[in-house]
Amino acid sequence: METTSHLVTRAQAGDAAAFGELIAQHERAALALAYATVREASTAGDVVQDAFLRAWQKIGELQDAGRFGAWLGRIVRNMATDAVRRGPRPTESLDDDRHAATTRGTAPAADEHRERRELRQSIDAALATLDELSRCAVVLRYFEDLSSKEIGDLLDLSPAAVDMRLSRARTQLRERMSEYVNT
Amino acid sequence: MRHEESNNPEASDALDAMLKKHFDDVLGPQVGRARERFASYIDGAKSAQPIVTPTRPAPGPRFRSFWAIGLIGGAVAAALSVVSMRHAVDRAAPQRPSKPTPQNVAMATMAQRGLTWETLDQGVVELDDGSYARQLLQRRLDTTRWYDAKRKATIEYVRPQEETVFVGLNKY
Repeated sequence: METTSHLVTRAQAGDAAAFGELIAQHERAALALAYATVREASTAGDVVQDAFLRAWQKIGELQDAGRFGAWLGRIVRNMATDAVRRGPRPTESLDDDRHAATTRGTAPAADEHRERRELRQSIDAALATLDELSRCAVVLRYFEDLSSKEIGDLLDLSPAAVDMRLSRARTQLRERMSEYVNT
Repeated sequence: MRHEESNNPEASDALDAMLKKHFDDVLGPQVGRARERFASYIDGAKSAQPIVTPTRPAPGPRFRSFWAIGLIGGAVAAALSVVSMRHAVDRAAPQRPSKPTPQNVAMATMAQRGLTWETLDQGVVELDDGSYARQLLQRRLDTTRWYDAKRKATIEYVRPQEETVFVGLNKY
């Protein structure tokens, strides 16, 4: 696999295929960052799409090709913050309703769906109690499985600071979700 | 989890598994959308350019040269008119008090000459060979005005010209 720096250099020369590879490499981390801010998956997906387009348009301004991830992370978080300011969209509830409609009529499936929805709401509520940086660290760790150093690079934190935030966040989440994790 | 201790390892494992599944469920379906969007953005940017199939001969340079010739021709004409005016003034001025001749009188009386032009964009047209080009209508107005001492009148000679030029569209 080509290194990020090499791909960035090619993308800066106008190579769209190289930028496509960069998207493949960084999309999950970008989604994690966007989701930690907007807290809604499809909005996070929209933000990430727009962020990559903006990154493509601005990639000539990136001085250090090795810092592409951190640079992209800043774009994603800024655009996610803008999306939050613009207000929420009702897509999640529509998805839930549509899923409920397909499972209606079979009691076990409906129960399962209700339980899953409650668990999802419970996790979302617990995540909402974290500060944004800690939430970013949690999503990056569990969705993209990044190391503390990699998370620190994206969030401008030291690895030790990332570990501390993750530890506190997990304690907080465990308390909030004791109903599910201690059974 | 890798970097921390927990009083209850089973609860930690359950939390880890739950969070991992949660993020996979909600964010997993979003993976790949950005790449698709970027691909369609690039495709859209390409298709927005004029389509010229590679088998056709490139009409660009021929029409561009034509256009360049028109521009250069206009500039040369304007320059010549200025030069001829300067000539007339420079040569005629010292001779005016002395003995006038029919030649220098004619030159001395030439007062003004101007060339103005405008270009109208008439849109993209298909040419006979199937290629596309932008059609431009160039209108020129060549004006010469002088004072005729014999008739004691200012005479203005206006020569309008119209020319259609085609600028070939290349695919970049």
